[in-house]
Amino acid sequence: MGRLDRVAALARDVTSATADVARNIVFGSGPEGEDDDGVERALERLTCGVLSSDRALAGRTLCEIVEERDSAKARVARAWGERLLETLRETTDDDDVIRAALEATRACASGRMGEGRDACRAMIARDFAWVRQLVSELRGRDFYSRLAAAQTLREASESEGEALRASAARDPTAVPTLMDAMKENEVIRNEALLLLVELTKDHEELQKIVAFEGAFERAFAVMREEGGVEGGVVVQDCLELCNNLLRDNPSNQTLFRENGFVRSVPGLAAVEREIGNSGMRGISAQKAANALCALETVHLLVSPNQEDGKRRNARHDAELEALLRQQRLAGCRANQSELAKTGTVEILVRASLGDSAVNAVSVRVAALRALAALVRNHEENQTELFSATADRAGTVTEPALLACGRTALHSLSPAERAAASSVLGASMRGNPDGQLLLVSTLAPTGFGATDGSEDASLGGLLARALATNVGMVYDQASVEAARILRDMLHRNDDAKLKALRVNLEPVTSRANASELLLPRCVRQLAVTHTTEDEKPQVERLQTVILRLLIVWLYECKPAVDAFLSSPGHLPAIADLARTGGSTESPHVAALACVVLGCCLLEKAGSVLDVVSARVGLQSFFMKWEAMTTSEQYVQAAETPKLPRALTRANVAKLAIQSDGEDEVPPGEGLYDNEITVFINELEERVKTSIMSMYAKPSAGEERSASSVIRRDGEDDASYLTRLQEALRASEKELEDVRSRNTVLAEQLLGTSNPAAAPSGDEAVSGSMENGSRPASNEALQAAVEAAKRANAHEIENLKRDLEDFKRLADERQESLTSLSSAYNGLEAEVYRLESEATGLRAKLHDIADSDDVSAPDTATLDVAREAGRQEGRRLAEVEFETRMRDAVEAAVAEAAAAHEAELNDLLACLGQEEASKEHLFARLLELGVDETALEEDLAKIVIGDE
Amino acid sequence: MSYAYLLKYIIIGDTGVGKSCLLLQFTDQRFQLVHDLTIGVEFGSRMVTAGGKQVKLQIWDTAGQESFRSITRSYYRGAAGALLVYDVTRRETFDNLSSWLQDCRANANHNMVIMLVGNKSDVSHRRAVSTEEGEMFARENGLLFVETSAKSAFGVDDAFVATAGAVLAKIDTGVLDVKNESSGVKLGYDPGRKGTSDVARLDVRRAEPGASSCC
Ligand SMILES: Nc1nc2c(ncn2[C@@H]2O[C@H](COP(=O)(O)OP(=O)(O)O)[C@@H](O)[C@H]2O)c(=O)[nH]1
Ligand SMILES: [Mg+2]
Repeated sequence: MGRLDRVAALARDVTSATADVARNIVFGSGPEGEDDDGVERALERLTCGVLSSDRALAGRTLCEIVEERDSAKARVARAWGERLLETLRETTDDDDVIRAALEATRACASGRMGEGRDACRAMIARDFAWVRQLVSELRGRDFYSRLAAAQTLREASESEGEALRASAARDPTAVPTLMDAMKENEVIRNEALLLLVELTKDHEELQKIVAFEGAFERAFAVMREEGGVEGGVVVQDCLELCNNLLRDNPSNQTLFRENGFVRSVPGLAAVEREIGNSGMRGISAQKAANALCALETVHLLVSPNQEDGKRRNARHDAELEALLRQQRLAGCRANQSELAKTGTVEILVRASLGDSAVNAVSVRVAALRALAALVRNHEENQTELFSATADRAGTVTEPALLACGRTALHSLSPAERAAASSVLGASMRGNPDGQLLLVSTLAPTGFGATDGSEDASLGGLLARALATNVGMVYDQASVEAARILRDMLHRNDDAKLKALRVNLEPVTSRANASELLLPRCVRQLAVTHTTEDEKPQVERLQTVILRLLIVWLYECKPAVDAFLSSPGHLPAIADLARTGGSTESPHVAALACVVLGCCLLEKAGSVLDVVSARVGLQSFFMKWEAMTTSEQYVQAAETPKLPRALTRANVAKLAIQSDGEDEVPPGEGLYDNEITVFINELEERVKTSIMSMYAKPSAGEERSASSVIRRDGEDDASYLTRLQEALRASEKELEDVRSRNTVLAEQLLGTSNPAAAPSGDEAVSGSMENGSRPASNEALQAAVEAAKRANAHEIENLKRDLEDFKRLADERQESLTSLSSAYNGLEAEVYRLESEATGLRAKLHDIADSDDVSAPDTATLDVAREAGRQEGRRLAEVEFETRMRDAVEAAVAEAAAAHEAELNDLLACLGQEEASKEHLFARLLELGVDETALEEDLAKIVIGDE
Repeated sequence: MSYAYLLKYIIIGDTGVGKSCLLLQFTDQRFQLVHDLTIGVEFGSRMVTAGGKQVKLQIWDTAGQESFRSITRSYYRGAAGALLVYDVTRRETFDNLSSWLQDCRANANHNMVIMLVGNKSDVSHRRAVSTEEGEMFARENGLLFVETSAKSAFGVDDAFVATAGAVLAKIDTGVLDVKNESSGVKLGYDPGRKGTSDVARLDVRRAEPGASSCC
């Protein structure tokens, strides 16, 4: 500023001061006055004063005023931002003034919550010029100025994080400057640290440059100085910074690993139960917070999941998506292996299980979750966990997995139970030997305490939990046990077979009874609720058991056979599918449908009949649809995301929480991502399978054209027998189709048959009236389409067969014509002969009573007649076959043509099918009348011949 | 594996000149028709021998930040070496070099070694910048120069190793101070030498099992 300007400013200052004095004299200083508090005056003096000491004093005055009044801050934000910035920008030689201006700015952006304060923060963070200026002040000479600049930026970042990130990303000196500030005196370092934590939230580019600038080195150096996990909140901040940099950021994770930091993480998470002078006490809140953050670091390193909302806008094709996922998985594996080298499994086991478990439930939960992610699909860590031990009651050393099972079954915290159960699941994932090993221990080992404290193996613990719940009531432990059992069987045929043989009756039991595991589990489904509070528990138990059955029965014929061998099982599941159990849960109903689907794939016919009779096909598919569109399912179906980031604010809350529950898992624990993928695939298969049962009931034993053609050297009698058999089979088949079609048609029309379907179907038809029909139309249409696709090939074959039959029929027609003319000739001849014979007989009678010459003539006649009839019958057979094929073909073709049509088309299609079948049947009956007589005659001859 | 020095590099240049391919070829010895947006391979590292010493190179591919050119500039200060890449088949990428150099001069530490890289030398039929032109530009601006093909791997190792050689020469002559962290050079992890490791090692503390176990 030039000298002249300063003089002018001074003059202005004096004038305004004089005016103020005058005003105060005239009006008094009322609250209405614009500058009643002197803010404007102080600002004027600070920004335009001449004497350095004057301006510094004005700065201090300003600080005092704004500290008291939010309204003063608001006025600064409204009218003085530019002037303040200008002052900072133009003062290069006067440290006192710079400091005064920076301290005033800081005062405006900090303090109690208020609109004025927030307006000042916004003014700074949203203006690139302000941010750049403050960053450059961080490189200034004067310590207090640097401190004030750092604090101002940090204050602004608290409510203006996003704006500040955008501004910082535009200033290439911002991050390097802040990284230098990290090496400064503690006070400034801590400010810079907090600022970096804010800047690196959800901003990949800033995360990368911060890591490039050596943030990991700095953070770990600071943590070491501050005492590691025992250190104060600075350690927590350092970990939070690291977590921001690592969260779903593969290139930073590579850097972290390459520079050897992965190995340093477990030590920061090594917390254990502490025994102090005053007996047991929880670890300090700060230590819990530090451990929670370090456990999050472990989790971020070994979880392949993505950050919620990240890359939302990136246009990714499937190929790239797969590539990225592969890359993340490779990074996780590398980290898992790196962590394996430093005994991380043991550290986490000690922190979470047995006597050494830390007495802060949220920390135990976090340790268990990290442990699960650490061992999942990683052989080395799984082996480590299988051989790890935990101490109990100071005297017993037992397998860590058993301790984990005990926690999963009996912990008071739902979050801890779930976390422990996920550790067991992860320890068996991709580990068939481990699954088998655990299944083989499934046997109750005697009578012991129900809390399982005396069980010596995980299998024993689970078996007891599953066996002891005899009353049909909800039992937490048995539900968890069923959940763990599911992981033992997951896609492991050997384990499934072994589990089928598990006898829950203890060997020591005197009763020679046997209680197999599978029926035991099914029986638990009968649980009902008595109070409203129990409803969620009953629903949970049933969904867990049903999901166990799904895993067990899927693609495992022996298990399905075992399941169906008990006559009550299938109807029980079907009823559950219809009603949803006592809680009328749509999830229970749908999962029961999925169980039925698994059975259907192995044992089509019988299961289908139970399904259509007890559930109704339309309703069956409606349940699937209700499930797959439910909120819980849709949530679970989303690709798994990383848990919410830990911040200063939520860690403090979490560290002191007593039940350790922080968030509800997606899908409320009823579903997980894996089962949604499975169900989506299964639904298609079940639809196809059902459709093909309607379109082609006798799959596998299909009669080819050759079966109705006479074989070489086949005599009439055996050919006829064969044709008879074929006819009977066709009739049976037609009967099946007719009855299934009747059921289907009834269901389509919404008229349930009270004789065939049990009561309760009112609910089904009732719900259809409530506008559910379009949804089921879609389901049916989809089913028709699926069947159409599946049948395309079959249609081709049928067409070819049809051609063959047509040819055959033509040939037969010809021979029929010639035969019938021959027959007619024969009849005429017979008639002639008969009349001749009559005449002769009469003559003979007339002439002489002594001799009977007509007998041989009659016998010849009968043989001839029989020959003709036989041929006629054969032709009828062929005709029937042809028409049968025609009808099937017509039905399939109709189904194909109807793929765009709605219910009406489908009904029409079915009507036509029915009509053609009626027609066919009528024909059959026509033929049948003659047939019966013929057959009887024929039988006599055949028997007589033998 | 121990190394004498760790050097931080950046790769800069217009979009599509082959920066990501160069990094992938150098670190993974493969060429891949990568997607247009840089994915994952934003950071890579490899051990090389330069000036008779084991040197670890950590390389940042700045391509991901092309929409944030200002962020790219943040990297200059902390890098010991930069590969400034153009595409010999696209003239404009060569013409843009001065603007990139300007950026470097404004933001980088003045000891940063810059290697000018003319990439895609395998595409001879569509060449738009001659080798001589590249050489001349490098000479005029005091840069190292090499032509490469990320596709055939021709010249790729050379580009990275020669840059390392130049950095080491600056260290040897004392021009570059290894103690200054922002120079992009770090003394390596050498068990024989004390206090040189930057790797933080926090002891895994394990409380002794409780002594009282009577009951
Ligand atoms: N022929 C040839 N093509 C290359 C070479 N290097 C890269 N490309 C191609 O140039 C395109 C851009 O490469 P990329 O590495 O993504 O460029 P970036 O934007 O600088 O990272 C890709 O299609 C590559 O396949 C090379 O040496 N020779
Ligand atoms: Mg790229």
